[in-house]
Formats: sequence, C-alpha cells, structure tokens
Amino acid sequence: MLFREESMAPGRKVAVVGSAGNVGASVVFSLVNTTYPADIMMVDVNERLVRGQAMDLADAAWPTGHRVRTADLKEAGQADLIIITAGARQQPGESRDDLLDRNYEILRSILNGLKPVNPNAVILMISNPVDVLTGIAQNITGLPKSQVFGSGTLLDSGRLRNYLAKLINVRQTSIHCHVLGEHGDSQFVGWSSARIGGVKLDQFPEMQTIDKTKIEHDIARTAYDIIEAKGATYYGVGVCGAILATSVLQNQHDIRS
Amino acid sequence: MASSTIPPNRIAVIGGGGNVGAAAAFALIAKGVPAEVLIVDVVDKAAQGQALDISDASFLEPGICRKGSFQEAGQSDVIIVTAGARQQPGEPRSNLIERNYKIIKSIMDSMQPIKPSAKILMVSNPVDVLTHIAQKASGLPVSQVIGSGTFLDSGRLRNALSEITGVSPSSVHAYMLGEHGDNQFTGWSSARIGGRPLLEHPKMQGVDLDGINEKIMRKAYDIIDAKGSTYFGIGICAATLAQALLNNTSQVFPVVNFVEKYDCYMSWPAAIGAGGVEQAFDVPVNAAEAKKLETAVTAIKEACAKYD
Repeated sequence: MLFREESMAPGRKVAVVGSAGNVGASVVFSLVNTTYPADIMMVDVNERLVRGQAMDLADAAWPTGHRVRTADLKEAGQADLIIITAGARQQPGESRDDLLDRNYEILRSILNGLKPVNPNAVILMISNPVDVLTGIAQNITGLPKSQVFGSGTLLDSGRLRNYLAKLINVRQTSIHCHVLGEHGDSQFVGWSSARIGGVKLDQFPEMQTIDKTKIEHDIARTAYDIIEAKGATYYGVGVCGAILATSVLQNQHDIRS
Repeated sequence: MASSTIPPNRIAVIGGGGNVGAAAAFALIAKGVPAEVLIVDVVDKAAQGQALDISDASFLEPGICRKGSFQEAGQSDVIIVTAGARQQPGEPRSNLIERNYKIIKSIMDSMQPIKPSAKILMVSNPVDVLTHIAQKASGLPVSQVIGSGTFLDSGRLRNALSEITGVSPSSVHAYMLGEHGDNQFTGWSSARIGGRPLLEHPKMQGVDLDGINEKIMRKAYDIIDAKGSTYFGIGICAATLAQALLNNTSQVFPVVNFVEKYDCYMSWPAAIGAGGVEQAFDVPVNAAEAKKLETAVTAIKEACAKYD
C-alpha cells in the first residue's frame, strides 16, 4: 500500500543498486527532485534498510510524480538505466589492490544477479575504484562499451569549476575545464584545453598568480575534508548521479566529464 | 558570487548540521532553487561538513550552499528551523517542550535583529507548540511564522489514496489536520477528487478509513524502525514550503498557522506566499471531525498556555 502501482508507473525505469547506503539513497533523493518523473527501483542486500530508505523517499516523491519502490536484481536487470553504488569503502591503511579484490567480488555477484540484462540497458558505475569497476562491469555483462560508463571525475570537475567560478566570477556551467584520467591519485586537470567564452583559461588575469598544483591538490582533498567534518560524502555525488541519469533517460546528449 | 544590485534570495537552515536540516538544504539546491542556502548549527564541524558536501552540487545547480552565522540567518528571507531536543524515553511532553523552549528562545535571540520581512518555518517537534513559541520569541508578525505540521502526513495520505483510487497524489485533495501528533485527524468529509467528494469514489467504497489513518500515523515509526530516522520526506516538505515562501506562489498547504477562529496555532490549510500566510481557508468539518478538532485545539492550547 505504500508504493505506487504498475499501472501508474512513469515510463522510464531506473534501478539503483546499493541504495540502502547514503550514496545510493542520495542519488535517489536527487532524482526525485528532478522534474521528469521516473520509475525508481531501489535494490540492496540489506532488505530492511533499503525498505526504510524507500519508504522515506516515497514520502519525498509524491510532489514530482516519481515512483519509488524496492526491487530485486532480476527486475533491476530490466531497467533502462542501472546505477551501481554498492561496494566496500576503503579502510584506513587498506591497499587499493585489496579494496579492488573485495569490490570485484561484490560487483561480480551483482552483475550475475542482474542477468539476463536488458540488451538496451545503460549501466552507470559510481562505486570505487570507478575506472576499473566500469571496465569489469562491461566485461561481465557483455553490453556494448558505449552502454557502460562511470561517474569518474565529474564531481572533481565540478569542484574545480566551483573554485574557478569564485575566482573568475563566471557561472560554473560556462567554465569549460575538466579533471581527467583516473578518478584517484593520478587524476589531472586539463588546463591547456580549458576555455571560458572561447578564450583560453590561462589567458585570464586571475589565473596569472594562482598555484595550479595547489589547486589540483585541494580539489583532490575535498572528499577527505568532508569526511573529516561529517563522516562521509554523499550529496555531491548524489546530484552527479541524478544529472547523468537525466542525460541518459531523456537522451539529452550533454557533454560531461 | 558577488556584485549584483539585486539582493540574492537567502534561506537559512538552523540545525542544518543534522540529517533533517541537511536534507532540506540539499533538496533546495537539487531542485534548482536559485538561492543562497545557509547551514547554521551550534555544532560547527557538522555544519561545515554538510555545507561542503552540498556545495559540491552547485556546479550543476544555480543555488549556493555555505556555512552561515546566526546573525546572517536573521537577515534571511526564509528561516527554516530543524534544531531541537529529541524526546528521551519516558520523558513527559511538558519536559520536552520546556527544553525546546529554551533552545528556540536562544536561537531567536541569537538572530536578532531579525529582518522584518523574514518568514520562519518551524520543523522541529512538537511543531505546533514550537511554532507558537518561535512567533512569540522572534517578535515577527503571526502571519510570518508557520510550521510544517501535517503537510508530510497529508502527503502520505495522498500517496495512500492514490494507490486506492488510481489518481495522481497531487489530484487527490485531502488533508490531515489539527495537531501534528496523536490528535491529528483526516478531513474525510472535505476531501475531493475531480470536484466530487472522495468518499463517493467507487474505489473508496468499503475502505477501512480508520485503518488508513492508523497506517499514516505509524509511517514515521515504520521508517525509523527500518532505517533509524526519517529525513528525506520531511526534507522535501521543508524545501517545498520554503520555495512557496520565496517565490510567492500562494499554493495552499496544510501547515501550522495561527487560526483566528480557534485562537491557536494548528495545521489548517493556508495559501503560502511572500508574506507568509496570504490567506486562510476554513475547512468544513462534520460532527465527528469537529470533535477531533476540539480535542486537538485543546491539547495545543494547553501546551502553549505556559508560553504566552
């Protein structure tokens, strides 16, 4: 009685796997704030917690017409878009290889549970290490490479744009500057390709005195600052997930990095 | 981002370091509300963390989120209050109210002088009494101080009725009313779909109305039982009301407002706009509902009496 019936479900189907957790729940919370409604399936091994999240989020979805409910992996595999946020977090002192091993097992189990995957489905990977896991997801599902992507450095690019927006007094969406490469220690800023209003970023007077290395370092550190202050990060990545989802579901052809 | 002659919209969330406040602030940013959203909290670290996390969303949305001071909150267009003490096991209500009175008074004092056109939206519980206290302590006109009240419960009601009737929740015009708590009741007699009384809808025949009431009242506990607390639902409610206040929409919502007829703050439909309560609507009640209304009003007035 708490979730909307099939007959009233919006057309587009999105599954968020791992949505008992804060990141997944925030992706859903961001989605229900968007104007074009979707049928949102929340999937997680922790059934009790994901049901609680779904009830709370259904309470938030009624003004915009989104349908929020729990589902199993089989049903998730039939969605138009499958967002994966499930996975272990890096423990202090844990090597990346060990984290990868743990998350590989989790991801493998999820992807097998999704099968047979809707051949037209798009998979959006958010769990870390996102670059490697995106590749693994494509490998295991066998979906065309164009249908499997990861959030990668989108949030980092966003943090960079937030910084530049304050520096140069131009809205973030008009600053074309990207963080590229690996979402991790070896990520880098594409300074040479950065432009505002067609003009190369490096030519702006405000850019003459800044320390680029320090900026890159500060952007990379932002997540740690947030974790130190509030324990975890989820709102920023939540909106990233929703924006990418909207691009896919509404076939918007935005350029995101 | 500075240098405009048009003053920016500003919404402050007092208690924004906590889950409910942060959810409200995040909802405002995620909805694309072009405002400066301030996170204000006595716990500085939590406020800082939430503001940093939420401001990461700013590159995709026009709003800005940052940590703010109580003084800045006092100069905001809309002030959302989610801060407050939570009921301890076995604590009598009067005790809880007394503790929250001190907190709300302290918050209002820290914000003085408050911008004369500011609107306060109280979310903390017990919301009816605390809305009353906030109005007294802030010195703002009665029309400019409201509370979220039964807005969320009404949303839950509409979800439930939508399931039964097959009509979108936004087209089922039904309210939960009165006190946000044990004495809240559903205005069944005034509920309508497509201009016709809800109770005449074919799918509503034989439906256990008390059962629906009970499920709605229990929803919060069901969520808390499953996930520990609730914040998404109430977060959206606070954000929706803040939007109405900011954008002068004059949408009608069941919120805590001062109802002259009963001489108390209670959840009753009101048109919400830039002036706060723009218009009040006296919902018709049948005999059974009138009894419940009287119980609710008495309970609220009793609790408020000490704080006049």
